[in-house]
Amino acid sequence: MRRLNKQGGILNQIIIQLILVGIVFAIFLLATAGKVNARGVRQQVLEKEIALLIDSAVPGMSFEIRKNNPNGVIQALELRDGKVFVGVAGLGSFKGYPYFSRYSVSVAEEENKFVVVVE
Amino acid sequence: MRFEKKGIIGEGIIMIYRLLVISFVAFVILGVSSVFYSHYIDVRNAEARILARDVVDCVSPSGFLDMSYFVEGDENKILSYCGFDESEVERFYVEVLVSDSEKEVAKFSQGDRGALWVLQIADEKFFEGDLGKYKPGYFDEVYPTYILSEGEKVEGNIRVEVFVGDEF
Repeated sequence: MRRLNKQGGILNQIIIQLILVGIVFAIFLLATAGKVNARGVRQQVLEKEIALLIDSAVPGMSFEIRKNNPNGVIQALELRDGKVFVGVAGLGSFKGYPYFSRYSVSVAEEENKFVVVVE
Repeated sequence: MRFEKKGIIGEGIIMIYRLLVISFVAFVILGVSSVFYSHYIDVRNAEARILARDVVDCVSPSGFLDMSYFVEGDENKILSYCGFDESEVERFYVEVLVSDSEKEVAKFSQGDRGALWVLQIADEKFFEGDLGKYKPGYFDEVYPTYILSEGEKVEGNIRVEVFVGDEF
């Protein structure tokens, strides 16, 4: 009788642990992956949109990107090594997206917007 | 009885430790997989179209292509001739064919010709699903122009083909 009780106790522990592990995985699957993917897609949209604008711009053009963007709050916008890097909603950019231009392109940060200038 | 209580506390601590390890592993797995399985937005056809327009504007400004502007060696460096930095256009292959009504007048290109057969393979439906993001972007267009060569002005056209490789 005592032996059966002991076995039952171990089984209960394993079931509790399995449930807890399942909950942990479910929380990460829903929260982490969902958030990272959504922000990743928004970052990709912004980087590619800005790269295409730079690609097609001619000297004398400038365009503004508001920090409070429909794709999320933009913290950083950098042009480095021929690539556009956009930090959006707390997600920093590591890869960036390449642009091409025959002209000189620069970016200036203002209070509530970034201004990209093509000269 | 006292030993049993200590044992239960010990098991609880081990359980918390295990959960922390599992949480860490889950976080790493999901973090890494989210990078590889995130949605891919393809803008390479748009890039090909923009580059084609830029190249035509460069070789035939205002619709006049003056052959005397080109020197020997420009045939394989058309993007550099147009002022693009080589590092910026590594992903591209551009081919420009200039012809009048009778014959081919000049041919210019730059980039990795490998993009041609990558596109051929992709078109034969080997690149489906997730592999689709490795299919090159492509744009092909013929533009009318006037060709100025050896003091003569003749009507002709410029065929531009642009291939854009992936950025990975």
